[in-house]
Amino acid sequence: MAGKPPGERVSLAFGAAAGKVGLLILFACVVGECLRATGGARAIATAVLQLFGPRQAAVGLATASFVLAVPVFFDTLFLLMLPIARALRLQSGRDYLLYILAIVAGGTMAHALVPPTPGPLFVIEALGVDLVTMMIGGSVTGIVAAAAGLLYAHRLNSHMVIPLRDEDAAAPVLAAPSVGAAWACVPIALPLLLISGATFGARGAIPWPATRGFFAMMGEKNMAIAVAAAVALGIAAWKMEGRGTIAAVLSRALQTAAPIVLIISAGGAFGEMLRQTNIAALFVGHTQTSFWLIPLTALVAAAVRTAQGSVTVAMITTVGMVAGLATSATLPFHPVYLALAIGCGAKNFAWMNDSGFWVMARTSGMTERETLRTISVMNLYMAAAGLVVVMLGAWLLPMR
Amino acid sequence: MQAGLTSSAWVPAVVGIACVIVGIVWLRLSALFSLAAGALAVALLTPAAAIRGAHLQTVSAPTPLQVAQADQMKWPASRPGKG
Repeated sequence: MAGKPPGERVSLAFGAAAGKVGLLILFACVVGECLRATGGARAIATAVLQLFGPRQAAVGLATASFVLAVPVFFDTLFLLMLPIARALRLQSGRDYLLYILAIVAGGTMAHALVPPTPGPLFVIEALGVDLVTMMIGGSVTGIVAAAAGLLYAHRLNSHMVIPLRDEDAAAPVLAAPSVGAAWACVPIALPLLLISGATFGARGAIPWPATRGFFAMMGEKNMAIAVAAAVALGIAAWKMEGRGTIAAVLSRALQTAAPIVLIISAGGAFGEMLRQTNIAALFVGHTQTSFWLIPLTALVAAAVRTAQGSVTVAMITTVGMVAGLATSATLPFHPVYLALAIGCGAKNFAWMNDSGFWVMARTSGMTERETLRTISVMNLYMAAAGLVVVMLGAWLLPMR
Repeated sequence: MQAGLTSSAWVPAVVGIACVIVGIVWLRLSALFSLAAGALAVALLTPAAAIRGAHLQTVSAPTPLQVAQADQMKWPASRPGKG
């Protein structure tokens, strides 16, 4: 690339990033939109809440949010789960803050740590980490961080009350979903199954050549998520009436996916240009052979996130700075830990320059001050807890 | 120096990140335009020598296995079956 003019370098990097994640994001949006349109997301949430019972409703909300944040983007997830939190508050007459915080605790960490959400997806492509490793690492880190957030939420809820301010308007109308939870889980579980099958097959864990060949073809990540999108569309077409409905679902998925793919591709170009400055060399020497690289990376992600608000942009910028280190032989741990540190750092503190902050504040009826005191502080706790898990993992299980 | 205005890695990176932050926070631009502007700014300010350096750094570091294999190549007699 050294001989090419700057505009061409940016253009090539833009195309390379689009090629890596474009189809994945598009098909993930189709799955998410099908789950939203058919009511499958709500069916999963209701089933999880029934599983945990009314006494553990907050844990149920956090669990459902964590699972649903993988196929559904966070803003949509929050709007989907909010009526359930309101219904629970109207039933119990208390704990509204706990329910809101439970949704945030489950949803935010999965959003930053578990692919195929766009941020983690881009980070693992840049660092050369495989999807299954990041999904496992992200889930473990995210669950511990969400549990820490939930503990904080319980503590806060015991001495702080947030009223349901628009109680009349807030009486939720929960329409019956078109699909049951079991059907709704199929497009979420299917790509996991296919990709895991391909991973196990590649490691020789599947003895039958035909099965191994099947998983090698269908478990390639673009193919696996395309199959999931096709299945989700099939279920939607079966359960919902009218061909126009499917066209509307696809159109809405495309409208959601297109700006994200463009932003991620522009971010890819930005990250590649940062990598070409050789800025990763600045991390070499003092930190490359030590675990301090993990908190340093998280700190950079946190600084960029706090400065400009977007989690995805923070992740893209940070990975552009450290991507050169991931291939280095002297990195003392698996690069998945760098990816997880970036995710934790980027989730550190939501404030007024973050669009998600306003979605959560306005739709839940909290004031800005209340949102800062509750959701933003809880995010900080979760980021710190996640970072501790990542450092412990890199120390105890470096995978090198 | 092709399209390079400075040889330091700091300057293009800091200018690029500043472009993104100013674009999103101050100019209220979409992240797409801010990132694209940041990418172009970094590309314009990065000297060609630095690009070659970054490339070499990412591809040339040998793994411990490669080092061990290279050592074996130096001493073929010590390999099994070679006497």
